[in-house]
Amino acid sequence: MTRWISLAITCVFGNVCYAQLTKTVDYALIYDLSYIRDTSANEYHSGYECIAMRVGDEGRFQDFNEYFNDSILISFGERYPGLNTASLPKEQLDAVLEEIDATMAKWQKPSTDKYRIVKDFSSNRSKLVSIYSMTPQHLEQPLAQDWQLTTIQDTIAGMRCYQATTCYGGRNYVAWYNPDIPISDGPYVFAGLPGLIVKISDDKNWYSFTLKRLNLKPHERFWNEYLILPASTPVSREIFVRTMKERKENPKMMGLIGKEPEEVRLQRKKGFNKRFDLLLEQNH
Amino acid sequence: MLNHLVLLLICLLPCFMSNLQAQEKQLSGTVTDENSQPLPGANFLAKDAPEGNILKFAITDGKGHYQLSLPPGKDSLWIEVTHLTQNPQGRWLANETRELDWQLQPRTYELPVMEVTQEAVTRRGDTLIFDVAQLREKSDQNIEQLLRRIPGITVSPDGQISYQDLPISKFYIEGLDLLEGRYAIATRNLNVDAIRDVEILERHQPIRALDSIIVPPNAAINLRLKSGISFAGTVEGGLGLSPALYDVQGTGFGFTRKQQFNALGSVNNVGKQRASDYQDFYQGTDFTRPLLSPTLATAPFGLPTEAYLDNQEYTGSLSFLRKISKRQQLKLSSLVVADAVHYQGRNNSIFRDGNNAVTFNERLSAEQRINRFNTRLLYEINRKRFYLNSTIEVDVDKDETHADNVVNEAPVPERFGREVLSVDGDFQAIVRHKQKAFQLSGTLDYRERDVVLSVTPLQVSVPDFPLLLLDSVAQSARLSSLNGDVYTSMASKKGYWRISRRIGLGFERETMSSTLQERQGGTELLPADLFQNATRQSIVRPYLFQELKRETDRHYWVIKLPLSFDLFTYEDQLRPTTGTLRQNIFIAKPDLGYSYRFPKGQFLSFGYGFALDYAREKQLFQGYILRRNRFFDRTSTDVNRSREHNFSASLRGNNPTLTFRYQTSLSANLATIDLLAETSFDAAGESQTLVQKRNTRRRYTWDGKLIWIAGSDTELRLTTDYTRANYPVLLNDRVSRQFYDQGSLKVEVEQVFSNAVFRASPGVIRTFNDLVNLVQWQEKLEVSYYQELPRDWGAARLQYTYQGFRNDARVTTTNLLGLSYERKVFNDNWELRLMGRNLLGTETYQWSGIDVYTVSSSSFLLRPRQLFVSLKRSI
Repeated sequence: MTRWISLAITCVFGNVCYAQLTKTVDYALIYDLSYIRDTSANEYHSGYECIAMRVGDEGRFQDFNEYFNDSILISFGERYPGLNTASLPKEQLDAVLEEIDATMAKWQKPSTDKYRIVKDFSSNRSKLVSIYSMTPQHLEQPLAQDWQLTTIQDTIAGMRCYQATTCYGGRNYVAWYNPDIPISDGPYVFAGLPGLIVKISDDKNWYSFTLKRLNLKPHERFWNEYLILPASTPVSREIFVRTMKERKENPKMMGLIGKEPEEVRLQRKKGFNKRFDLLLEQNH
Repeated sequence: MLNHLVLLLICLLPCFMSNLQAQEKQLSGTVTDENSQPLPGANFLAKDAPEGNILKFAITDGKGHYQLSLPPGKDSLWIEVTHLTQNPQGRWLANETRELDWQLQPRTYELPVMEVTQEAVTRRGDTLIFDVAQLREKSDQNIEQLLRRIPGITVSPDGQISYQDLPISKFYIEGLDLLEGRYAIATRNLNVDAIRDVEILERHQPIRALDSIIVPPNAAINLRLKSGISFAGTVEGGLGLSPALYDVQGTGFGFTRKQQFNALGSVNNVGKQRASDYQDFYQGTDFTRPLLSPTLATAPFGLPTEAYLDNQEYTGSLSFLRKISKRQQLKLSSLVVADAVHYQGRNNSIFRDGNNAVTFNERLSAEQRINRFNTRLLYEINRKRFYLNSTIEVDVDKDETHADNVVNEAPVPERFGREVLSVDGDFQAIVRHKQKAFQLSGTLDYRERDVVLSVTPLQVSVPDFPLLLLDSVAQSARLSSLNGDVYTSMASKKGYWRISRRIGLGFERETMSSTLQERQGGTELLPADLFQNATRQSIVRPYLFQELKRETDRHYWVIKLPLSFDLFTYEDQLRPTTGTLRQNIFIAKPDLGYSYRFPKGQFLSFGYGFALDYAREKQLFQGYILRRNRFFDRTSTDVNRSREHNFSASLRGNNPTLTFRYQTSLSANLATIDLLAETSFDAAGESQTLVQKRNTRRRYTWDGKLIWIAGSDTELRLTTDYTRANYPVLLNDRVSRQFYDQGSLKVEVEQVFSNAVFRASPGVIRTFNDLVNLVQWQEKLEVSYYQELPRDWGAARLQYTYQGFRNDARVTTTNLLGLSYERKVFNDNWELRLMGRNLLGTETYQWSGIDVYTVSSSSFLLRPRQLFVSLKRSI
């Protein structure tokens, strides 16, 4: 990562320097997202981790690797007050940027930063950041908690779970929740069941979130106050979905024209066509 | 009437009452903790039994209030209250509307244990690990195809792998570098099924003694094999027409804990040059113009070799690695190549000097036989405080060409032979003490070349000698060279400056003897003082190379200062009075570069370089050498010194939405050179010699590139360049300044469909040379269409190439069409390929060219219409 990107990111999130960098979260949950890549061959992509956590009435859901990377960058802002406004002396600024580069080179996790969601449990609303728009935008909507309970029970991840269903974002979902863990939260925008959502998937099984790890004891965690930028403007669902769709179909990986065989070029396009993770939301 | 109404009421009353009873009841109230503080987020469950079904639920709000709807149909319900930080409570309650407050007691949670699954990509420090099982596609047949899809990796058409635009420094298999740079053998032949992980070792330092002292920017790749894999390989074979075609290749890899080996063998006559798989990507390519060469038809450029190369190639290689101990290893590799290539074509050359013109019409047909043997032995110790790498390599190269050429309707057969023996040794030793490392490196190369060119007949035409026609002559030359170099490197940091230095002592010693002899008759018609050489040239060169870099977020500076002092000695044993030269030559080539980064990401760069140097690659010789038929050459008795200034400026960037990227650069080169080539030609041929005449050359260049994502799956690339040059020419005793310019424009378009890819690449080049007073146009069009067929029926590819050359004298065109089809067969274990080449039956590749005083038009015989079938299987 070049220095100027590091500085830009610390500046963007810079106000955190004057607020608390960590907070005591009530709990932290790690979900594994599995999504379909090839609907004809039933190929899936899995192993994509996301973190959900909550402080008071506010919950967060984010790509776990991106959360980790943000924590490194913003921690530099905490250590070096003045970094966010580039008001450090030039020599010190260069040394700090060099340190940031070295740290990121060593520790940065690969991520695709697809999801940044803030949940407001007091008003029961959520904000989804539009990752691929050129200006800060987000989709604001109610939390997905219009549930129908069923009488079906099963053992999921070693826990006794109950089944519930809901319809959200143009898809029908089946959730398994564990009332023995009385957290009315879950992955993505899902919440509001009388127990922790252990697993939730749509009825076609194209998207599936499965609980992988959890920490239910209050503990200190990095907390990005500006997960959604103050300048972010709300957009309609139609615009939100259209932006994601354009990214999926037109990935704009330039510079390789003629340099790779046609088979490889087609595979690359199909690889993006298989990125159904970008189409979780629909226009319904 | 009234009695009926009362009776109706009495009958309806129970229904009304039961209806009232059927409406949902509400249970509401407040939940607090032990301190009577409201508890938000507490869950209320209405069940039909403690372990029964959940019928309804509610969650307390921010003030701890809840409202639970009780489902009808049950007299009583099990009501359960849970909270993350409190002990749960539950009780049976009647199914009725009521207010009920709850007070919960705190508790500590036991955390459930969850399993962690393997991720597709993990990072451990500087190493990225890709799980091949989750990364591969069904269609991946070899590692090269898999690597292309890893983000950051690009693979060039010849197989060189780069990571983030830098070539990889090492290619390991299970931590061992078996192939030492020839990793295309592995990437193109090793089966993907044998690999478990691909590791990218970012900023890899292969020398443990330099770890954390020097952090190179280049990455390395390491393949991790699946456990139990001890052997992997591929077998490929094909037959075709016409004429009878064959192509067979087999490769095998063996792996154990302490040893690895690779064996490869191939034979083909379909025009493939499999010897290119043996290219060593760790070392750069070194091109020197040959001293003697036969007259061959010029091979087409820009076409794959399978379109024109008439060959019979046999190759074989063996690589073996043995781990002697944990930090010591021994490697041995050998390869053999044998090839017989047939060149056939025509050439028409016109020499012009404004007043005169001479034409040579040639029909060229030659067969070249190449034999090459190479073996390399390497020993390495790689410890934390000590590193040693020593290599010895022997290369034997033999080349024989028989040409049955016809020039101006007269037969002029040629025979050419070349034998080269090279022995190279190098070593590198590094000793580490705390955070400093001391390095000593050295190379020693010995080379012996024997070349012979015989021409029948030959007209000898050189200045100061009468025209002489000989029935048959043989030009022979023997060169031997011994080069060595010992140096040490150091790197340091001072403030924002990074400094690297290299101090060394090099030496070069080369001897040459050459003779032009009449092959028959035995009479000495060619005087030794004009046509023989016996020279010795040596250089002792102490040198210091320095590089300083300074980088900030906006500015980047680089200063290079290579300095050397050549103690140059030249002796001509046949001309001791005039052929002795001793000079001490100071060489300096400072270079300054500066780059500024704009806030929006564009880069503006400037550069200035000065070079005080001389033409070092050329051996001096005063006797004429027949370098090729009808061309005599000699140098002067002085080194050709030069002073050169080079200015450059460039701008590159992309637009904020990243839909297009651009770069443009300008450069100007001004050079002053001490010697000038004096050329003369007549009906017998041409000759050249270097004379003392200081001269200046100017060259201006502009180039630009634009890459644009024009739409969904449509990419457009525009490349353009223009060169303008001005330099002196001494031709047939007349000095003039030649003006030359060339401009080119190339467009590449790619459109990707759901199952197809279309590419088109038209281009045009315009060249002008005022000495021959000619404008030449070259047009090229390449079109390809690739289509995946439905239902796993494979894929087909159509390729069309058009090339046209146009000038006042001539218009030539070449059209080529090829079609191929590939598909997996026999339960996807084999890959079937059908290929049709040159379907239009084009006989020759035609082109025209302009050189300093030469206009030529040539043709090369292409391979005829062909159909080829091949099968490939990976083991």
